[in-house]
Amino acid sequence: MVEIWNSWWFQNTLVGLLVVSGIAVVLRLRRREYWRLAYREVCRRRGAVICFFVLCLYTLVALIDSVGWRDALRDENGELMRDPRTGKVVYDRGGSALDHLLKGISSKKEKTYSSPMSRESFMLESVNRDGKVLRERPPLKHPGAHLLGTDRIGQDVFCQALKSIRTGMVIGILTTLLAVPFALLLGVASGYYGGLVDDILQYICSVLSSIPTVLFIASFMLIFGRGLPQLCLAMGIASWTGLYRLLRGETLRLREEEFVQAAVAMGVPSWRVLLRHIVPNVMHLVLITAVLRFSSEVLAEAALTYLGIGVGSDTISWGTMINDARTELTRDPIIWWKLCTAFAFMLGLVLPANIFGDAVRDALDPRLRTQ
Amino acid sequence: MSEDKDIVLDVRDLRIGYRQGSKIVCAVDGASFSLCRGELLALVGESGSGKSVSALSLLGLLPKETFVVEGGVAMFGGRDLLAMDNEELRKVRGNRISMIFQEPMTALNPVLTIGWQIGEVLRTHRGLNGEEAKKQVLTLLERVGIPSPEQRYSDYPHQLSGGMRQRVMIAIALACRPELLIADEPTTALDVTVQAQIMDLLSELRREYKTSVLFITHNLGLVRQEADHVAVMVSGRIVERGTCDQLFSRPSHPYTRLLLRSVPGSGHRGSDLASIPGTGSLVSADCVGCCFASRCPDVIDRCKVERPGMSLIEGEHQVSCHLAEKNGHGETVSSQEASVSRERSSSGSSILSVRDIRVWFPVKTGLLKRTVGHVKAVDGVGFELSRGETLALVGESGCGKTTVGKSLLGLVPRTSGEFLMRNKETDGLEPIGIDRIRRRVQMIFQDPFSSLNPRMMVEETLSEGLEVHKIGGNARERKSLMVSLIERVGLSPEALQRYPHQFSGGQRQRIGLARALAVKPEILVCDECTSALDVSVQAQILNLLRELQASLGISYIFITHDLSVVSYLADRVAVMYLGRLVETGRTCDVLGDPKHPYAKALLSAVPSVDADSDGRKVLRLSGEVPSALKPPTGCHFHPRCPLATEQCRNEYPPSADCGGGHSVCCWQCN
Repeated sequence: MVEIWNSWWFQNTLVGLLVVSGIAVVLRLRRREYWRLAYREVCRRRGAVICFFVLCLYTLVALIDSVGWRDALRDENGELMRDPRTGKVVYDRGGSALDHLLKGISSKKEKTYSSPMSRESFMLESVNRDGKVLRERPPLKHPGAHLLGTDRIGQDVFCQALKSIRTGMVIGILTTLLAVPFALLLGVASGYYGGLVDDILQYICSVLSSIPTVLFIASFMLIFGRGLPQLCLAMGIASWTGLYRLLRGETLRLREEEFVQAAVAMGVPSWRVLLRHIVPNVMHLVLITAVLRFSSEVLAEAALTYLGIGVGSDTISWGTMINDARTELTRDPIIWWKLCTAFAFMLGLVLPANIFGDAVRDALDPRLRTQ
Repeated sequence: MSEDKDIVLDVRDLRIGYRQGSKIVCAVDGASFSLCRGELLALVGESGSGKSVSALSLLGLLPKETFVVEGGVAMFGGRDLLAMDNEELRKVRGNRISMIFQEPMTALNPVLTIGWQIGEVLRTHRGLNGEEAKKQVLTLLERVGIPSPEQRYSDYPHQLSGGMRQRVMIAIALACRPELLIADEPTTALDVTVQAQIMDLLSELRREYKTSVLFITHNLGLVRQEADHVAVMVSGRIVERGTCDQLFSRPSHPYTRLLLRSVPGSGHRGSDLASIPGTGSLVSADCVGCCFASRCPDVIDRCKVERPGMSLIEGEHQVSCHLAEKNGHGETVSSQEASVSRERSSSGSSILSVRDIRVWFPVKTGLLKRTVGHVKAVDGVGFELSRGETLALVGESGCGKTTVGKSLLGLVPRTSGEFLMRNKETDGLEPIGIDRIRRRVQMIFQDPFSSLNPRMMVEETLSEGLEVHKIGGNARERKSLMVSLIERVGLSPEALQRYPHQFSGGQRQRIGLARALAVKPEILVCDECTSALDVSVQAQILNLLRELQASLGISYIFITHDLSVVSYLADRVAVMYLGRLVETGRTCDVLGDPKHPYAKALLSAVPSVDADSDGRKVLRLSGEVPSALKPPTGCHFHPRCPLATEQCRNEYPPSADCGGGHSVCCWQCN
């Protein structure tokens, strides 16, 4: 399972599908007047538009980072290397398109820490100069090349932060995509049908939400191993209950609305009532929750990784960056840039997401709209 | 106004603007009125005419973001209310001017006891402390007719019924013996019998405390009954004012005349009600002519270019109309409503027979959800309905009339009983399955704002029924069906491509009607379908319903608490009380000569605009409808009945025939 997930072709197909379905949804919604109005409403707020562009920038980086890219291996003479038996071109292990783009910076490795834009190493070293042993900072191999400095093993922090965007976005989006349909289906069914269905679902929900989230995720990761997909799944399962409750309540209210009664009185079958009358009228809640949930998942990943139950240390994420910074903060002089970079990049994603989410909520709220 | 009287409030040329996007439109445009001590002035107008806005502006209660007071003075006790700052206004509010709101359910704070809430006013404005305040509160509670005030003092609002809460609101409003009371539709949310109680209390207290009342309402019957002076508002302007008698006997503005004639009643039976076209939308500030010009049937060229001033007719009766200036008082044509005699297509054979329907809702408690009792919402109701006939189900809220309608369509499951419908082939009455019944019976709902899905275009809403019942083979056929439907209810075909929020309340009700008609039903259940509408719009819908019945031969089950609508539209009436029918019969029999004490009380509680009704015997009911969970033993009505005897307390009366299909369930009438 994990093999397939990590395979090159699977990831590229997934990314392609995601982009295509995203465009399809947008095109479909553009035809509905309701959403067009909401779009216009959002566009009226300058802050929201700026936030939207920031989010787009992040998404773009994450998309580029998700597209697989393989370089053909070359020998010393610059000739393409071929498989001696089949004669096919041999590729390297492959990375993402972003890896390819960042090759220029990420390949410039230093020995150890260096502060942002510095020309010399951060660490004092003993240098033997003219017979005298001096403690001084040696010059870097690539002076001034590291915008945000380097870490303990001399890797560029800016590159790491950029690479972390994808991890954060994948966790945010995938967890939301796992939790929302679950919550939507169950919440609406529970509220509309009531009775035994409602009782059972409510019971499951209560049990699930009484397990401490951290404990649940920790045990899930222990059983299925640490990794991005496992974390998404665990967080998705742990987080659908809130939206489920919200949607169940809203459906209970909508069920008594006269337009639903009118549809039932018309003899419309119940699945159709759900699909055409209930679901469209809770979609604004779903959308708002999804946007706000997204940002909280990004933050949750950082917290979980810090606790040691998030993604493994082989995956670059803001959580692992913060985890590394734990030891760096105790040094003197303090090494601040890694933590600050992770913090700034997270803020840059979460804050616009929240502001944009608020704007979308205002735009979709029918009570504000009627004026 | 005569100067010798003691004027409490004098409002001159009040102008209030309403922000709509970036521009400002007139919500109130030069309204002037004054109130003498102990007088009741009624402000009448359709929704959006600016009557509530005017009243709220006096206390500085308008939201500042949307409303701007642009000018005018409101002299109260020698000071201009509009010029006061917040600190001064706070001393006036609740002390010298107080207010009663429409919704008694939300106007009280649910987490504080009523004693505390009444006491708060006394503590704030009178500086009374604990014991003194409590003593005052108890006297007040007793004064507004709340039984055992000692116990009620520490009750929370949810423990009281709607009528009781409104009494508490009145107690709060009158705690400081204000000089002016503003009552904004204080009885609209209440049942008619409770409304009568509350109005009696108000006028009694008004006389005792010499309080002036500014009464905002759309109920013309109440105005006729209670008001000393009346001011009629249209689109933010006062178009006519005078004493109650003057206004009702000689209405001079075209709007007032139309309004009075749009009130349904037995006098209009068989003819169309007058309807006022258009809605009372706000006028833009640059409107030069008469604000009613675009809707007036008697409009002349001058109306469009010149704003009419107030002209005197006689005494205090003033009107703002060019036509009235010209010929004394506006004696104009406007008798254009043709008296179309109603073609009764009602044939004798019944198409629906309801037999002994019971709808009991189980009350479950405890962990295992054991059933401990039943709310008997409907408890053995039966009636017949003929083709093309209108049956009115009448009763107060909670009597189960809506549940009868909903159980007919299977929206609530019934506990026992059956519905029989005429089978066209065998011509006999047969039990009918729920799928078939939903094609032959349809429903129109009360609230035009929640009865249409806000996310669906009108076209989608209408086509839903067609698709489900496979009417119209393909999309083209369906489309033409929908166009004819929407034209049938008086809207243009462009309406199909629009969303519900783009329509007014009356138009939405028309769409709801079109949706129900889509499946060509034989019976329409109208659940309070006009009670949320303005009187003039209600008249339009009632006219439409009548016309549809004449042309399509549909039968109506009209569920309502509004007896004026019943007397206008219904052929037969069934009066319900606590889940059972207490009296049924032809409209003229039941409304003309009610036998059951409850029906009598219900009828006498309804205020009427007709002058001759002043002398009728008033039968006031005490108390309110008991809970359907524990209905009283014997006759359900006996605790409130003035004629109750021992037999009434022990046995439920059987139905007795009074002849002509008129039957009553009462021991005293047998």
